[in-house]
Amino acid sequence: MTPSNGNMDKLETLIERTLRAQPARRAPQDLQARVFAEIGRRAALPWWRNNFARWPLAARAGFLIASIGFVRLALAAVMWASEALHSPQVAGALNPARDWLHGPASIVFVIADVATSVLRAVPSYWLYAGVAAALALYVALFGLGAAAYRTLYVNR
Amino acid sequence: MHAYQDMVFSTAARLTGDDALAADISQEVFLKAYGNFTELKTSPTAGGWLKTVATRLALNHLSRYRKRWRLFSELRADTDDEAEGELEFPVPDTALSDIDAAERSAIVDRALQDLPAHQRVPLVLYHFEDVPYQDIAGQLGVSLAKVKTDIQRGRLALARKLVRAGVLNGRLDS
Repeated sequence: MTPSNGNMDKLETLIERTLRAQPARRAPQDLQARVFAEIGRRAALPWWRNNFARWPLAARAGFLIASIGFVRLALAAVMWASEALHSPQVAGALNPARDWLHGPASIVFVIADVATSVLRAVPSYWLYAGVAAALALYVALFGLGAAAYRTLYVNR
Repeated sequence: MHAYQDMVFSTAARLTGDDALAADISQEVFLKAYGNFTELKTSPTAGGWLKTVATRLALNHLSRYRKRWRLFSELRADTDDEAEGELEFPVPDTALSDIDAAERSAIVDRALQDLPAHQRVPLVLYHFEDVPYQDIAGQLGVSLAKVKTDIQRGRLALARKLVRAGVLNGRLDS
């Protein structure tokens, strides 16, 4: 049940007044010491372990130049590899590897065929029962999670 | 820092309902303030800046965990609401004189802390931070109707706890 409409405004005024009258909570006594200790710890870190924005200007510029160089190098390597793959010598050398890959691919196709046959052979109500069992397990785990939350987290 | 630490801690503690977490958030707020010290040291709005950052960090933390726990906590809160009787306040002046101010304040803080997050957070934003309903809905990513309902239920739940603790003068009809 909820308060009647007339009580709603009274309730709002009451809660407003009660909360407004609350003094500030006292911060833990060690808060200041913790903050200063953390500032000291961060100041003691070497520059490369700090936020990138706080790196020295020269280091930031060097890092950007090195990054751009690395990207260009990677692109050049991809281009070179692509051209090399299309050359007749490399294509000839790759043929045995290509043949060898046909083996694993055919195994995958055989497994897919077997799975399809099994699914066709299994009665449909088995599948429905399997799906229902999975759902029941899911709901049970969800309930277990809710119970654990209420027991361990909410009532702490 | 000394002048603002209680305010920052209060903001974080009331929003999160967790003192240890509020202390961590307060530390983070002051570390950010240290990073902006040159702008803040002469700013007349430093207090507002600190409060805004504390609120934002607390809400960020809560939103990170809200999706995981929201369903469970809302289920629990709804059952709590329905289980109670009607609440009436026959006397407008509600402060009971026989309760010491410090004790009364501790009881109110504890009652607030015990509210589920989806009621406590909009309630705190509305009553302590003066954030309008619409802005609360925007900040929390929920509908305006839900914010109003949660605040109303939060007030009711808080009042029940305070009546039971003898801080408010009212009557619970079950």
